[in-house]
Amino acid sequence: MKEKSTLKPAWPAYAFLLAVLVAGVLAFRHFHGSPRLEPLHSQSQSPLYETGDKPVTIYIKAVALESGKMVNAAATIRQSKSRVNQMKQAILAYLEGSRKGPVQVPVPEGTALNEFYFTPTGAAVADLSVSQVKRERVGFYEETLFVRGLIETLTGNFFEVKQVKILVDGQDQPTLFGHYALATSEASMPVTENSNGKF
Amino acid sequence: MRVLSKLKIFLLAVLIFLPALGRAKAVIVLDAAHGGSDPGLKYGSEVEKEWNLRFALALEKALEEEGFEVVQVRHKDETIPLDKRAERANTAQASAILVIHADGEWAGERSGPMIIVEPPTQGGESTEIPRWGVITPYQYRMSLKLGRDIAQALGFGMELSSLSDSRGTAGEALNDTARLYCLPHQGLRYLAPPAVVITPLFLSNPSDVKRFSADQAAADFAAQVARGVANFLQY
Repeated sequence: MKEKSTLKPAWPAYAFLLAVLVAGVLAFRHFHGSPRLEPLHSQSQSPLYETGDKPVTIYIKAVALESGKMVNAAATIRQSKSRVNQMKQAILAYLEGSRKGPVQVPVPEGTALNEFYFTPTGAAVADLSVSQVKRERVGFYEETLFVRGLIETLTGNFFEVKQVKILVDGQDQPTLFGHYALATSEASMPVTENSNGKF
Repeated sequence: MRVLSKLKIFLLAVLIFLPALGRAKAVIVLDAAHGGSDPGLKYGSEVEKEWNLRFALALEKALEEEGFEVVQVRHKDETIPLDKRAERANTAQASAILVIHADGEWAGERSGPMIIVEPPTQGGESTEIPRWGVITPYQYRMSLKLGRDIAQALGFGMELSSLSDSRGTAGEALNDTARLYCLPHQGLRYLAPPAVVITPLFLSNPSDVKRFSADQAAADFAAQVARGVANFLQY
């Protein structure tokens, strides 16, 4: 009498082992192989523009003192090849805008730009220094105007800017001067609501 | 029989007045911002921490006259960290929290009171102290209603100045007529709604300082705010 073989074909086991091996190799390469590429951050580069670059008019945000409203004020930057350099020029134009006359920039004196970055996701990152600002002179209203003005100067002139993030000396900080909560300025606008209080 | 009748009358009276007797006063928390080693704004001899406490004490009196129980986060010139302030305010079982600040700006032009409401929570938050929690649209509306009732009691219109589009192009996010603002204020991040920041004056504006230097002006302002809170709570 012929004995019935209990051995099953071996190929499913080999296939399983092969799959495990391939998965192992892939996992190893993922965790220990070539480094993962982080999104590149474009940093502004010196010089911000060349001598021959044409002047171009942009609009920075300022406050009309008589009405208290935010208005556009013309400023000139150079049309350098790098958009990131143009953005940095726009921020510098805002920070160095006029603090005299009927239309003034709401920039606390002593505020400076350390560095500027632009990410592929459209986030403009302004690294500010406020160590020279007299904090005891800057209230919530002025702080809000300053942050809003910076955001709107960037988003108003550069369509690529989807978000604005503010750092203080390279660090995430809750506020610039103690009042306006910066966490939400990562999204350029914290609220989507109309004036009737409806979303 | 007569005793039974008197007992019935007594029981009826108890039933009628018991709810009133048992009704606890609504608690309002007042937080006079800054204090101690943190002076807040300074314009000449005007120091924000002193003005905040002055308004908070005037508000305490006005709110008590409206029938509220008041819990002050600080009673004197002392340093209280933000997390301790939040703890004191959030554990008081309050019906409303009022944070008192004074404001200031470089030009000295802006004047008058402002009321600030914290927007609903968005993603991507990163703060030093864990915030109170997610502020839902409903909770935001509660704070907004409180702010509106106070603004109305102060005689201002109901215009809300908010930030309203996705790319930051709301050119009139802060305008000259609105007194009620929906903006992210650090003083509100950690508070349980309904909560608002009230800034009665701009220390940078001499006419504001002169106006509120009179005790009666501060008391009148406090009485109006207290009426707004009472309206909000239908007190």
